[in-house]
Amino acid sequence: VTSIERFEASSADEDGVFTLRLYVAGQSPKSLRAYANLKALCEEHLAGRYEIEIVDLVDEPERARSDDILAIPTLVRQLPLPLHKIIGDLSNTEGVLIGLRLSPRPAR
Amino acid sequence: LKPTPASPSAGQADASPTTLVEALARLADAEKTLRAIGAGEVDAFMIKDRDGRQRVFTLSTADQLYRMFVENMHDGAATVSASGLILYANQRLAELLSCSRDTIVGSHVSRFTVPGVWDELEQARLDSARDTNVELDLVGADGILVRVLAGVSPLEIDGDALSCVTFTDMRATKTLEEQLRQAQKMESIGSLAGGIAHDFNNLLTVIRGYSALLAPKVNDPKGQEAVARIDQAAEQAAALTGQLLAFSRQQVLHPEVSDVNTVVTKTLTLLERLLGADILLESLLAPHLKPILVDRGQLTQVILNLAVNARDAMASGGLLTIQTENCLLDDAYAATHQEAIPGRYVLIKVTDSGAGMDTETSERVFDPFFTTKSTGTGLGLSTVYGIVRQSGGHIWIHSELGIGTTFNVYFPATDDPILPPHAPMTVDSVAGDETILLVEDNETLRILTAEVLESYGYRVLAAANGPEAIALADRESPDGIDLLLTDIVMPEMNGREVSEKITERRPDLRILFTSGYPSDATVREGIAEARAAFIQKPYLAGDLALKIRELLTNPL
Repeated sequence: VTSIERFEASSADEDGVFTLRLYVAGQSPKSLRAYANLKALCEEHLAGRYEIEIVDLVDEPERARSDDILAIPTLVRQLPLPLHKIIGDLSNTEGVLIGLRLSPRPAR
Repeated sequence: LKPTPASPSAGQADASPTTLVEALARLADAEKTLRAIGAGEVDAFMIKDRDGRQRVFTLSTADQLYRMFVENMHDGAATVSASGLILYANQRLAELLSCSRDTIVGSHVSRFTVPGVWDELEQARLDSARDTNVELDLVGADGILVRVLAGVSPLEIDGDALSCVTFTDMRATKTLEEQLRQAQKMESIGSLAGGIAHDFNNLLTVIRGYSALLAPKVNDPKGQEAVARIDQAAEQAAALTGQLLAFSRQQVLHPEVSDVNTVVTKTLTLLERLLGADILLESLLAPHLKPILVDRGQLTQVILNLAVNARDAMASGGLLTIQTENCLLDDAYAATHQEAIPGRYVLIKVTDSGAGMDTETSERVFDPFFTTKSTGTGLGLSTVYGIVRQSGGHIWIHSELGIGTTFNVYFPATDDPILPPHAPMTVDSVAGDETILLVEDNETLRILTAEVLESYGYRVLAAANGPEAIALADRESPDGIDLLLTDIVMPEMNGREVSEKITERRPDLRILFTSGYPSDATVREGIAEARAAFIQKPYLAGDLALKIRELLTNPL
């Protein structure tokens, strides 16, 4: 499977599983907040179809290279492709939804 | 936050841009980073140290020390955003809520509280803008309510209104509070019951006294029967007030150093008759039991009442076990049992295999007049409670519905030796011609008692109070009075003071105290200590005469 094929398959599957990677710095307040915000948001918009990978750069600083991480916290949407990066504690829900290419839930 | 293990697919791309696409992507990242910094959404950066190695530069490494405290403290702790989102929870909170920290973090507070609680908390916080302490129920993941004291401290970080909340488990404290409330309730019912018993005793003494005086004067058989019935009814009423006094711990006890096993063994023969054929009685008496200081008659009463209660709980038969053993109640026990004082005790355990009680029943089981039976006064267990508490003991109930009930009765152990019983006194005749100084503030009772004593041949000097009695005594020669019969509880001067005043000049004077309600603990103890003679109201004319004759006949 080439990366092009994978890209095409993933982008066609916006309803599939979201693989999200959150880069944090130990238990720094913004890291904690980003995780809490992310979880709440996923539960609301992606219930049952998301995976969150936490990367603690205090423990594994070298892993910052893989996604070019500069500031923490940073969230990277791994799947579906293409990659999307959101920097900050994810408290701006609307911004995060746009960043993840998830349309805000229509008002009920 | 627990990092997810690194996946092998994580790329190892070079950091230096090589293509225009990459360069543009980096520029976009930089813009996003600047925006995030501007919004105060980041608190750490990747930097390169001198060796070119990447490391995290965090603005908040100084909090490690405090984090250690929070992580290890015995209270639950959480950081909550203004909207009620839980940002952080320590391990203890996860234990209180019976779920993982991952479940808690990111959830809204309302998931773990009774509806409306969080709004109240927020309002309280907004109103005071200071620390707030509120008792509330947390709802664990298993649905179990956990009573906690929540301490909410507002904290503003970068314009965010956060709440730092600690949760102290109140369940153990609550249990103790409940026990204290129960003890206080028993105390107040006790004084009420004691007060009623006192008034009734005076009335019953009059009724029984006059029916005794009336009986020989009635010749008509029907009239005699009527008088006998009056006396019978008054006797039953006296037995009831006696139980009330026992419950209110205001009866005069005659404690002796006793062996519990001896008392239990004697009681067992009584019990066999009482229990009926379908109840099996078993006794497990520990050898080398320590002696206790107890009124033996009252101890017998305790065992009998518990056994009768057990019998009634086993309507279709069963097993009644009476066990004795030495035991030590330690500080830890006392800390969780409101009425218990640490020390060595002798435990009497009365266990039935009956219906058991629910919590509601077992909480009320010692209340006077509380009964689940169609017959019975509801005073049996109240009496037990009063006797045990007045003897410095402690009772603990363990009951399970459908399995049975155990009453654990603890009496303080003593190291004093057991003394042989006193030789009974002998009295040839209850009549006499000595002089008795009678002090009684209740007029009816005073006249009655004087009449009764005079009917036995005594000369009676009657006084309504202490000063009057002293004045009367002063007019008599030093050996002109043989016995002082005085009530204890009187206005102006109590019986003890009267006796002290009068015996100053008459050291050989015999004294007999009486009361329906010796409420003053020091007076009661004084009597028990001095082994002074005492007769409980209501008394029978014959008993009073017998007691007086004993005192006058036997040497001091």
